[in-house]
Amino acid sequence: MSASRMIIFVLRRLAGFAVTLLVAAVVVFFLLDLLPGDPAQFILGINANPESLSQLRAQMGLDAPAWQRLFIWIWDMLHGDFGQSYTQNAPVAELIGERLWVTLPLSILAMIIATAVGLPLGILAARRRGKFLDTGIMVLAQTGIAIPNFWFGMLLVLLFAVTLRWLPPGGFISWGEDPVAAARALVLPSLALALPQASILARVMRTALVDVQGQDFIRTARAKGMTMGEAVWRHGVRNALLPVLTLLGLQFAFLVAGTIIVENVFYLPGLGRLIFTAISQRDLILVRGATIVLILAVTATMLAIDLLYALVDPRLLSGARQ
Amino acid sequence: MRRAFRHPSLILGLAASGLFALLALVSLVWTPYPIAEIDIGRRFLAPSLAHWLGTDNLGRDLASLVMAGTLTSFVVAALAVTIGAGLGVPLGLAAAAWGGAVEWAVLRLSDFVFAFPAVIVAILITTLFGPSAVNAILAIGIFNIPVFARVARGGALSIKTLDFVAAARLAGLGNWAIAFRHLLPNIASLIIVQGTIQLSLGILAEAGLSYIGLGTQPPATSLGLILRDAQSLFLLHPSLSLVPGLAIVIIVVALNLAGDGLRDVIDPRLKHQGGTGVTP
Amino acid sequence: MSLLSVENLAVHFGTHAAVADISLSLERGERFGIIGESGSGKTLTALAITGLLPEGAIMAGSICIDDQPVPTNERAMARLRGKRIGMVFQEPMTALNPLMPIGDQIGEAIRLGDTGGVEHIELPMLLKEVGLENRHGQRYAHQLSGGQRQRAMIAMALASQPDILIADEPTSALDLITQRLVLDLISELCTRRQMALLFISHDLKSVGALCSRVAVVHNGRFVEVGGTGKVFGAPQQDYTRRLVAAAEFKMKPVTRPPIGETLLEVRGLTRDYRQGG
Repeated sequence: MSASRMIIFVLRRLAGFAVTLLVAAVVVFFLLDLLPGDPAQFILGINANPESLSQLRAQMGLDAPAWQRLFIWIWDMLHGDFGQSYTQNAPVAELIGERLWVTLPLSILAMIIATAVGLPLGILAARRRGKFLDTGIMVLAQTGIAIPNFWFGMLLVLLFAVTLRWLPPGGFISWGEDPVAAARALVLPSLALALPQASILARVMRTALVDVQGQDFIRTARAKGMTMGEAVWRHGVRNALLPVLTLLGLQFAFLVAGTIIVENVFYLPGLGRLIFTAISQRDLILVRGATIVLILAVTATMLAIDLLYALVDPRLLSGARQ
Repeated sequence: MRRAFRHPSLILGLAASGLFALLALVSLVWTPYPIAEIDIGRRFLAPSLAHWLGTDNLGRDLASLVMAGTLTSFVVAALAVTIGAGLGVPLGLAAAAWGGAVEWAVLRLSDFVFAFPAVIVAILITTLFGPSAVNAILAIGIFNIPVFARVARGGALSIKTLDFVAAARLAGLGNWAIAFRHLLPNIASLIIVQGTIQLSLGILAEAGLSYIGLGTQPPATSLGLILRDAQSLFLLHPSLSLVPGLAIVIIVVALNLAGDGLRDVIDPRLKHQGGTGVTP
Repeated sequence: MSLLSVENLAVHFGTHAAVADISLSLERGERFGIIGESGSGKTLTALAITGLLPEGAIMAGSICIDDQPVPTNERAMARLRGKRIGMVFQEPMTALNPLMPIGDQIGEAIRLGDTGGVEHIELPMLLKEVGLENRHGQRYAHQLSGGQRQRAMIAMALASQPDILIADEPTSALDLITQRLVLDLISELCTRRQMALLFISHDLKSVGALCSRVAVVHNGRFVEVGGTGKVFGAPQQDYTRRLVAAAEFKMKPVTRPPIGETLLEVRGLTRDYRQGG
């Protein structure tokens, strides 16, 4: 494995990432700018007066041909300019930026909890295969997968906020005002998001590790003088992580999108609330920007896991395993 | 078939999902009370003989609502599976049968669609056409396409290396004929198992979308929509959200048990592989 | 006092007896071969001796090293295995961890096999001894050839300076020329290090070349045990005779001359494999 191979691999993945984003931008543009016919009319409704219509048209640059508008939109976004929200009278980038301070920490916290809970439980179940503990963990996981995260959020509020009064039931105080309160507000939502993910991870990790335990190199490690437990720990877990990582890429990507559902339970001022308001007010420019940011978050997560995979599996870079 | 009856979790799963499907179907012709009947005088009733699961804030019978809501959830998820399998399986088969540029295109397309989780598609469609159950069907269905394409391609690729496919090719069969006469029948069981799993994931996804107002709209109802209505009241009347939530959990567990069981019965080699479904 | 003695070894899977009534003893520096067809129970015998039997296998009989019964405690048995016994398996590709450079894997064996004596073994020395270079230590299994992988396995087995080397079909996955090289290496190492060898194979030639004593195993039992020359030269048992006869590879000459014109002609055929996504 040479450094140049690594660079080529990373560049290829980055290129794929860029192409996905570009095509996604074209699709979003087509849906939100071309399909409605006249976006200005769409935003203002049928009864809009001609003056404000032409004003909005000028503001949105609707006189230019479509391909030019697409190009300008993408070009501006690359420079951090997502346009001006018509309904909120503020730059879209600023509106989204504020909300990301809730949505991003929430999804990252949920990913950390899901991994920290799911993987060890999966390993434990695999090591105690067929025993009571294994059955118990797998029943829990089977249930955890079936619980809608937003409903679990409601149950958490009932228990920890209403009954025990340990944590706030909802709402958010900004990080600048009271960082501790802000963090406390994110605990229950991130637990709600993490539950199904942790369950899936536990199941996949268990399956992968059970598979690996039967592999020849585990026998080799034992022949060298390790117990089964030591062999699995030193050689099994890392190998078992490969199939887990593949799934993790998709799961965590969707977790980012799922955040906006759970925000609703806890009245969190995240990206979700912004989007729902924008939809009901037909603010195409805001929806467009927010959608692109969500897609960016999803694809960036997938990219990160892809690159992580290459770090774990040396075969990927030498082309021995495609 | 005999193996199926020795698999307790498969029977349990099939029976429970069958029961809920039956309740849902019955709601077409009969519910204890009409679901649209509002009667403020009898709101927030506790479970009783007259109202098995009690009534909601508008005096509607919760049992009737859950029955009708289950039907919507099942229909949305089933149509989404139909879309996903209907488009995804041919794509996956084509990728396996043709290989080369076709395979490349299918793989890139499926990677691309994965960048659009159901929530994002639902946001886009709702912005354009307003919220409706059709949004949920489309959003979940589109997400299902690459899932089925990958499963079909993976299954077909492992069949394709077998000698009887080479024999068929020597006999002069073209790619389409091979794909549909030889590959498809052999991956049908895989597709059925994946279909069961996607059905359960679809029910979860429908609930999520309807809960945030991007899916089913009143006067129709779905399990997710009942939860949305209960949202503002759940601190005072938790049972309003417990009942539909539990219904979702039971249906999804039942479908997953059925899916895992089917996988074991159809292909014993895959036993203990555990479901690796991806949530939309 | 024998180095290794096995008495009445039996291995069961449920009601199925895979190995029955096997006894053998191995002296210091002795080379003992176990020969038999696949599925005859020879690998299970080796795994039983080292305590590596798969889940669900039930073992009976006694196994002693230096007249001491081997420990039943998993950790103690693992440590004994690490310090006294070296093992080489059939398929080096799957027997090596794909995600760890082979130098690290050998290093691990050195640490586990360290008896605390004065003699300290080092990685470069070991690599050299099995005919590998230092740079090979940084490579992963998939970056080595089949022969190099098996050499790495042998280095791992030697790391603890064991008294017994157990080689289970060590050359079956290799091509003919590499087979020869690996066998020569094993033979040379056993002589130099005064190691006892338990060599398991289905190939009479390699057993004949390496071992002084041999046991023929059939349906999980030893059918004949004795000096290699005697067993192969004058087999007493019917099964051994058939085995020896089958090993003599005779080709029937083609008697019919080709008729008519060329039926199939191949010229400059190439087939490329595109890397699929």
